[in-house]
Amino acid sequence: MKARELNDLYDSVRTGDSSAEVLLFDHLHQRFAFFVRQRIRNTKDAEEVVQTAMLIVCREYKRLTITSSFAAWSYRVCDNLIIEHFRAQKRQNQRFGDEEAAGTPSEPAVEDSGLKKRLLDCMRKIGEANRSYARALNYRYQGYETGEICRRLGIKESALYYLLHRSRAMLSKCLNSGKVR
Amino acid sequence: MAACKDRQTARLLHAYELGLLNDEDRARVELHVHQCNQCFRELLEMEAAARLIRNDDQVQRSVAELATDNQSERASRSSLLSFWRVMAPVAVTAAIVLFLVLKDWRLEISPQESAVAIENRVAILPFENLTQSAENSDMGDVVANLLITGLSQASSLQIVSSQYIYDLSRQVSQSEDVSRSNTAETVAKRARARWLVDGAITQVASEMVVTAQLIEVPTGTVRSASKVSVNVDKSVFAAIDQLATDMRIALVQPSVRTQEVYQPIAALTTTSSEAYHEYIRGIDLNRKFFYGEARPHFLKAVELDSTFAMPYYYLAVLSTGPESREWLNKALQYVDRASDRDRYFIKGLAARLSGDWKTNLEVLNDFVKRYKDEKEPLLQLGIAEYTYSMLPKAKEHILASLALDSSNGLAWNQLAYTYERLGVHDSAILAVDRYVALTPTEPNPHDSRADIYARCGNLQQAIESCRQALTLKPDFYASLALLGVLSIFNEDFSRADSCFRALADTPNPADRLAAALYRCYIPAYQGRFREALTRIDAVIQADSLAGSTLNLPYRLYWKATILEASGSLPDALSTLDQSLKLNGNLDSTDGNRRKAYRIRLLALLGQSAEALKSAVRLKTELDSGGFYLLPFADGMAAIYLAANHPDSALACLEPQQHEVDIFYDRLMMGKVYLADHRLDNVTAVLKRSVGTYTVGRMFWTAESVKLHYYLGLTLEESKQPMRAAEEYRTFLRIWKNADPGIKEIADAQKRLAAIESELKDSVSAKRP
Repeated sequence: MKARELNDLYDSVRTGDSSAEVLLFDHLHQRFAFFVRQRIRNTKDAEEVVQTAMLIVCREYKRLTITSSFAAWSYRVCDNLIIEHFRAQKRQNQRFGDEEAAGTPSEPAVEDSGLKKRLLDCMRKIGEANRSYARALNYRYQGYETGEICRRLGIKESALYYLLHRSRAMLSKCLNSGKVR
Repeated sequence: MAACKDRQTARLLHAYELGLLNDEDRARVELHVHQCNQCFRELLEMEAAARLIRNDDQVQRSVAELATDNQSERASRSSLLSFWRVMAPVAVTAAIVLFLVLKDWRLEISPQESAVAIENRVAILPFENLTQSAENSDMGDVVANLLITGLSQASSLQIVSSQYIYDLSRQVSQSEDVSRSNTAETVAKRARARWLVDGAITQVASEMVVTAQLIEVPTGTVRSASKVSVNVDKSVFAAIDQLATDMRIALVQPSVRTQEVYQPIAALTTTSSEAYHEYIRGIDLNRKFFYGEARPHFLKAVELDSTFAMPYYYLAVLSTGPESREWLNKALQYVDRASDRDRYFIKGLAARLSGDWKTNLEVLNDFVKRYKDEKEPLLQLGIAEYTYSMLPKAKEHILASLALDSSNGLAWNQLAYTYERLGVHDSAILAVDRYVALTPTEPNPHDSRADIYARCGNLQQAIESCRQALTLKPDFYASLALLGVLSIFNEDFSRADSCFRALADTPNPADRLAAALYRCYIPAYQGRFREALTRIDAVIQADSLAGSTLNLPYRLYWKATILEASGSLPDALSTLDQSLKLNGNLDSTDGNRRKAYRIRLLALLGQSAEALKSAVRLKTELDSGGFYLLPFADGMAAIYLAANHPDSALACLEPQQHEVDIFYDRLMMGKVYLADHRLDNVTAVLKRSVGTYTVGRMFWTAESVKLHYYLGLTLEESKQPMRAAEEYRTFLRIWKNADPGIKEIADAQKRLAAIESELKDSVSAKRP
């Protein structure tokens, strides 16, 4: 679905097309859930943010007249809620010296041992073919920000992104076929 | 499905997955993905793999190995050639971009290797011991350490510390299969040393011969070579003095040499070579966190030479309370017989133990200034700042130490704890994982990981890490104790008991004493206070029969908390008074905590005038000692709470809240918020406490469980009956076999029944 299609879908929903409404909300739920998963580790908090975002869109989209882009507006709803979630946590942190509420879990573990085995194998192959990738990842594990990683690797940000992009393509291929190239 | 046409944004997907984009770029990617099915599908396909890359320990270790593996670099270069062959037909633009990336890649050298050697920096490696004598097995370390002490006196030289050499050697030998000479050269390069001293020890009849070479690292040329013999006529100290003199002649300008006075090495260490051997063995074990095993060697060292300052220092570090102070006094008595560098350690500890945090920081700041390019002073300063809750500064100095040596496991360890206290849990776990990756076969990194996981609320992973530590070293007692305490939190009481029984059989008296108290925690955690009190009385009696009164004040302190929980407030107060009267195993900080608790007991007993007087006395003591005022704030809050003035209690605690990071402070904060009906605040504070599994929390055994009850009350008041019911159930489950007559149990049962009945009614009302 392209941008225009998403916005077209929204227009169809506005004219009362209920099948378009189902498609639209399915689309939004999948995207919101993904974006939130990327940034909020706590599964319960993440679910809550997605639900709230869906509720806001559900409540507002018929009431508001969105003239520019429904896609941009709906994304902003989700993004603002994530930001608000972190602000609330920061307020708690300032109050209690704790950035995240109690029991902050790490990201849910990936249980697929086959995937892990393949991934380890592929990381080794890619690391051997491209040590920069391993070093960039290693710096990331050490908690360095992008600027510092680039400084240490002696490359510019755009080169780092390209390096990651190329390595990802190799990784994707390797995970599917076992071959890097 | 067609490929995404927005290639510029599509190229950012992996950086997005790894969390490396700034907010603006992240929003751009997400908005694009929001609308682009192709990119969304790509992200979904890789989601699990990306999560593994971000978080999985094994993947991180594997990547760390690849990042530092020279062999893989060589392999990658050959792959690069074939890669270019494949890429030849690609469009010119792509080729230019690739060229730029690969150009940088060819220039890549790890930061440690790329660093320029410092002109006057000297790395002294443990000498190769070819004597094949079991008696002198550590002679290589002894010679190197003595030479470090001897050469450190030359102000124009920067001698790399033995700890750094140890860290680098271990790292190099783990990652590379190379000869000793190559290892030595690599270590020197990574230590940014221009000069390397390496040598060997051989035995010719009854004579030991030490040969040493001074090598210029960048060129590999030998600048000078020396040979000394150690025989019945010449002690090892005199022989190494001779070596040090030879090295100074080669390295220090004659004009500088004539201005300086160099003392014999024996005057800065010991005159007994046996004592020095014992000291070096102790240092080696201490580095690996084998404290129980290190201690006898330091004891033996001071037995052999009672004027040897540094073993006293380490004994002071390994002891607590008055014993620690006794050892330190000895170290101070002989401080003139320590090197300049070692004197900083002794003076810093002296200031710390006397509670003089300002002097401690002054000494350590001087230490940092004097040894600018060394990681150890920075780390010591960071540790002190961490101890005094100056966490942002602590983080800054530990990171600076890591910038000098990213292979320093101890620094990663300390960074993990600092991040944890700063509340940045993800970074804490990353740092401790890094520590584990550096020394995966040693138990302490796993023990630290267990502790960090437990502090971040991940009980099961904490238990697993404890087990890993114990698998590597079954007698690693710190992990045994932690596993026992975590098992209590996990309600696995039989495992906890078996851990503490095993701990009670250890050779280290401090562990044995701790085990006796820990076993009392087990019934207390289950609300069986009578049994807990019987146990603690038996422990106190057994200590008294054995003549061990060192831990008595601490045991009485805990007993007072249990007496309070069982409703015997007057007994709790008299027991605490007994604890305070004993001049025992508690430093001034713990003493202040006990005084704050006494104020609370007085307030609960309605003796508000006496409580207030005690609070004023405590404030005066804290002010004069330059201590933090939190214990006073806790005491005042308790007085106001008892008088039903929660708003005033809050006014006492709120100005100090930035320092709140131990269980008791958080508990007081939670109680005050609860009384003041600040529901959001109380929920946050109590949830944080419930999700933190520490030995400190376990000390407040009864309150540790009652947290669930308090949380239930809060959630009920916040109109969250389901969650409240969950907390009540947890509370009642843990105390299912508790002593009869505990009022919180009766109240929780009543409240739970009411919630359940209300829920039942609402369900039946909805049915048609």
